[in-house]
Amino acid sequence: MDNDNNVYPLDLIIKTLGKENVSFNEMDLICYMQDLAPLPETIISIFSTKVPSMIVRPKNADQISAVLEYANKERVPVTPRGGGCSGMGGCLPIDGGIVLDMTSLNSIISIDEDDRTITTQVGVTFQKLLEKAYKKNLKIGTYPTSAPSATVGGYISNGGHAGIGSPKYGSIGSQIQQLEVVLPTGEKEVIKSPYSDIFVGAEGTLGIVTEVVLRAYQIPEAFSVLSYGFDNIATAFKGLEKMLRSGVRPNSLTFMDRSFLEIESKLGLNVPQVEIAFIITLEGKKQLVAEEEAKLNHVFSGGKSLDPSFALEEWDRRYKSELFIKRSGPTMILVEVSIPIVKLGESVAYLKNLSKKLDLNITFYGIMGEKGSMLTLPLILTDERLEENFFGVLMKALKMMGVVINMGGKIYTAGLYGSPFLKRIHGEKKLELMKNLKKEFDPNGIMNPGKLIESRISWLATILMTEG
Amino acid sequence: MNIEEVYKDLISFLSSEYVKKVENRQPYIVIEVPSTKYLSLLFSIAKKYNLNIGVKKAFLHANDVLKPHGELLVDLRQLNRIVNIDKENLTVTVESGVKFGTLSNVLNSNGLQLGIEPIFSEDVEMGEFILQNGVGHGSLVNGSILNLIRDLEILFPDGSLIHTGFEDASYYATGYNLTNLFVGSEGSLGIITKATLDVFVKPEKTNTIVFSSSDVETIFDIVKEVSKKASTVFSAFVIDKAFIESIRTRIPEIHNEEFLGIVRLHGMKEIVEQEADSMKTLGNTIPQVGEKLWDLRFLSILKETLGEIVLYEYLVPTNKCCEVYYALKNFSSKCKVKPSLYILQIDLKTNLVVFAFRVEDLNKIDHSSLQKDIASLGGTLYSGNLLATTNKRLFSKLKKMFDPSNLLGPKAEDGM
Amino acid sequence: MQKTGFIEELYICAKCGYCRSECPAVQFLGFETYSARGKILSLKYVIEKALGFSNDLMRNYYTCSLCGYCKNICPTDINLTDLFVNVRSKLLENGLIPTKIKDVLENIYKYGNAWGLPRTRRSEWAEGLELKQYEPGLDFLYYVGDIGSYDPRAMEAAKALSSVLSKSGISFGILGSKENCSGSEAFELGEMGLFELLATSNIQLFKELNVRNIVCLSPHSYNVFKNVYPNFGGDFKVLHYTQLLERVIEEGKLILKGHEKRKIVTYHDPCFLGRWNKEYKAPRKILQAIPNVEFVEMERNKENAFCCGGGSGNCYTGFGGGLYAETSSSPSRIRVREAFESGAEILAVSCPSCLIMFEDALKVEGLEGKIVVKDISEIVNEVIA
Repeated sequence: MDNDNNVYPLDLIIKTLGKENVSFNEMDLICYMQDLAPLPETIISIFSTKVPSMIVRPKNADQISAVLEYANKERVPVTPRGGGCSGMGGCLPIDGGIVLDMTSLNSIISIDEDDRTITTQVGVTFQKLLEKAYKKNLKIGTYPTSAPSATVGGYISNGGHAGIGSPKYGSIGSQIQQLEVVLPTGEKEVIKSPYSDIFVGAEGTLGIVTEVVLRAYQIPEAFSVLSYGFDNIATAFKGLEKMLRSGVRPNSLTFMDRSFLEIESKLGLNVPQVEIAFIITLEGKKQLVAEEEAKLNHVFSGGKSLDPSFALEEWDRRYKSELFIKRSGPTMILVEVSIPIVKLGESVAYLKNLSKKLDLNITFYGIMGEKGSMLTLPLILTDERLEENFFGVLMKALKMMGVVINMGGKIYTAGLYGSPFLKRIHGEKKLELMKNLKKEFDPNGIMNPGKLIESRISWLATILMTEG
Repeated sequence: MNIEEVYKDLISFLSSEYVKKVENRQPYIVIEVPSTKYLSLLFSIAKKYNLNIGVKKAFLHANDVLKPHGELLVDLRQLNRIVNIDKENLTVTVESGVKFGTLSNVLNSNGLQLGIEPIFSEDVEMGEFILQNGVGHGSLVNGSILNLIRDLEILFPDGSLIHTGFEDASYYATGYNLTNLFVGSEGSLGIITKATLDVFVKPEKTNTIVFSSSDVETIFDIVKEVSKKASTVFSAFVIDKAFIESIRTRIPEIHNEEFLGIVRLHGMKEIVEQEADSMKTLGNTIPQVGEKLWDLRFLSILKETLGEIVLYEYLVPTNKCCEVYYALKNFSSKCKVKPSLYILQIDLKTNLVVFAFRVEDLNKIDHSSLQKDIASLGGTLYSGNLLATTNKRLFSKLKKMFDPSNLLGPKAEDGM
Repeated sequence: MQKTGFIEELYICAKCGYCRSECPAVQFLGFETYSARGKILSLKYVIEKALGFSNDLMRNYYTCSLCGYCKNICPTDINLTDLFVNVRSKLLENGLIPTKIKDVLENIYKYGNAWGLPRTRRSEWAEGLELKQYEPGLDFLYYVGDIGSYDPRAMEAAKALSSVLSKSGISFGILGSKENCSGSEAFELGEMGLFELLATSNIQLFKELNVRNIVCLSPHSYNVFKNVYPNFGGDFKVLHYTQLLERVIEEGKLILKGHEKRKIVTYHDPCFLGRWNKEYKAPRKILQAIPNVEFVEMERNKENAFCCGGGSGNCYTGFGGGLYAETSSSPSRIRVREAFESGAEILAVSCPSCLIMFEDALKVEGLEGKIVVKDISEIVNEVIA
């Protein structure tokens, strides 16, 4: 790996940010080169040919503006990073350069009970934001299950389409009233909805979002947690389709399959013995919640109501659930795909079949997104220290993603590893348009290079998406 | 611009019944386009003569009057196919020229409805509604039409046809969110030829409550109170005496009311009934007229008393609505104009105030002083190219990308 | 949960980063390198590249007060505090230890306290109080600990507690200059050799004196007496003093008359009583039993309480940051600001390290006169009828 550490002049940045907010220390660099993905260095080094030269921790948009102005002039790559809890490599500084640690933009500017808006810098975690809003009897509509780590900016930049609240309140994008962004050329802009949406899901490639005004909601009068179990996968998902048409909009819905429950059981939790379990929360006026509960009992009549203590326990553990089972790996590969609920039954069946053919043990977990979609996670437990074996497993996992895309499913976040699939999903023309848009915003190509619409590994897509 | 030359060129590939010359004012030629492929041909002609293209709307809005854009005006009424109704995914795909009324009827017969309905007229075309980032009945629940769009098919001046979402209406994947760039751009970045929208299952029950008051503050307070308290409110709006004049003949129970506040509830049966009962206690109501009034809710009805109308729409903070109302009233009496006012609640903080008056009275209105008055009260003009007014830098980047030859109105420098 | 070797735990780490945002070390120094995730990644890197331990790694692992927030929130249930202590032991074995910490451990070994002050001075705090020297037959051994015995500010708490215990009619005695360090710092710093030495000698002494019940001023001593000494043959019951006072108040043995004016009080959960030993109720019950006290919670409380930054010997070495509260991002300063924002006039603590850390932080933050920090023993002592 190259280390271009000596090449870049540093005085301006150090002066603007303060030297305690800039680091060249090797140990710091190591920590900022990784995200959630369990990839050994040999694999990362295929994508990442340079070590970053520094980590900077700006406090506000003006400081970021100074950094980007400099980086744009000197053609230094800049990679923003929030909680680093996505596994798709979006925050990996693969071309070296500067890593922008956005967690230092952590001030909550105002929580307005009358207007029902929250104005905040983007480095605040959702857990923190929820806690503060709760004190003023307000809540955020949609937030990720990685709330203790995920930052507002990270979730927005990755699209924010699935999470707790998404079936009822929509994606985080629809709750943004305006954003403050710093463009790759250094200018600061305040952009109101709907144009602010161009930055939602842009994964830091069009500029850096620094502050956001979010719509907030009054804490609802009633809240209830329910759980249903099914002995048959098809029946479970058919019930879900019925739910979509029934007008019920749950606050959240997660599902887990038998294999997931079995692992939880082995690790000491009390779980039901079913093929598929749903954990559902409802909120709103008392009467509405009661009506929705009654409707759910009806649409899920093909299954049975599970023990309320299981439902409550799983809701209490909502931030931990999908990660806890990693303990039995110790490695877990998280594949994330977005599948329309009306296709969920057949997709899950197909994937189960495929996994048998590929000799993979997969475990299903899912969380409902907006507009009838389900963010589905076929999780693969393995051991990264058995390296040759692990590489094979990794390739099979990516292949599975390719299959889902061929079937019409969509990837959830592209980042680095998902970028090769974009051409297949959007088509060449549209991808070309997106690339031109990127060029318009970022003529020198410094902003989070190699991610999303810019893929260094398209050869991978070709391999992964051919049948066989 | 030599109108005759352009006209001759146009009728060489399009029947003359679709191409109409307009004397003495812009737009000079109105073209009714039979299909998308003719639009591309139109672009090449516009490029050849360096002309600007606008898209026809069902109503005249403030900007159309103040800065008419386009030497050529395109009428998309023939692009009127309802392409697909997907009951499984709860979406509908329509060509741009499909009228709201037509779509609404077809959806209703399938047990479905749109989430946001235009307030102007049943003749509003869906493409037009989207280009203005329309708000309307249902915005209290769903915001603007933007939130309900899954996919747009856009035709660019270079002739390319792109889907901003996905043709199969499947929802989202990673990549740039292009849809929203075109919504609210008033056709300045590309022409919307098709749209796929979310639809909803028709609610179990609806109920329309009609409040009356002689005093504008009271009526606003009532309507605000109801939308805050009731959870099933689909729409809440206030109409003034002038509007009431137009509907009075059809609804005998309505007499000399100064103001009516209409609240439409929809949702689960028991909840709607319960809320209707409790909300009725908040003010004077006129029983038995709700459903009839709801059917007549469109601003187009004003044509019967006012003739051809022009609409000025303003986004006004809710707490300034009364002041804006008075300002408009004062302004109208100063200019000797007889207007009608229609105020729609969009969310807790914002209302859409529509100032409707006769086309003939246009020259009596001092536009800039009116803008100033309203702006000083915190109101902003609604229609117009919102992107250009709010973010010039972003707009010019996009304009350079999508329409470098500046064929689509409004012209880049105006950015209005 | 399954117990695995600590290398296995390194691979179980999901790298989710839940441990990052509330970590006092991260809030102090900014970079996420100091979070549990950062510590694990640094160690894995060193192991995978067969690099051997470095000064940087050492600095990282000692920059931690062992507050346990990360362990509490970790979704894969890794016993992170155990992991850090294990790594510290390994670092020690490899001779990697910061000088300040080395000095502290040497002092503990030689003088029974981190400051290296003479053993004879250990009983000075009790002068004039006429407290009994512990002997068999007394109900409780009142174990004071190093900070309570030697630090002038903390001595006030030690004295106040002795007064409260006396007035409650409890039969107790102290060890005075015979008292030796409990070994809690040695334990927290991974010096297991020293810890074992101290533990076995203390246990021997307690056996000789037939000690059946111990009441501790400090949660740090409470923690090792309760959870680790049994592994070395310790056989006695141990309470933190708030647990004893809660009981005593309930049984009516202590009547509290309250203040003249209403006082707004907030409570800081010390890590080693709260998160480490799950005792959140007793201190609150005591405060809420005092008439004219209006109790308010800080924003981060109970299992989410934010560490004062003093654990792992940091209150002696300043290694984890902020002993002298030098920057506004020192954990102790962050926490006193939080206490002030809660609207409280009194910040109640139940740990001598927290007491001395906050006393310094208050002054540096310019909050003197706006809020005071008091140990619960002092608060109770002021209001006994």
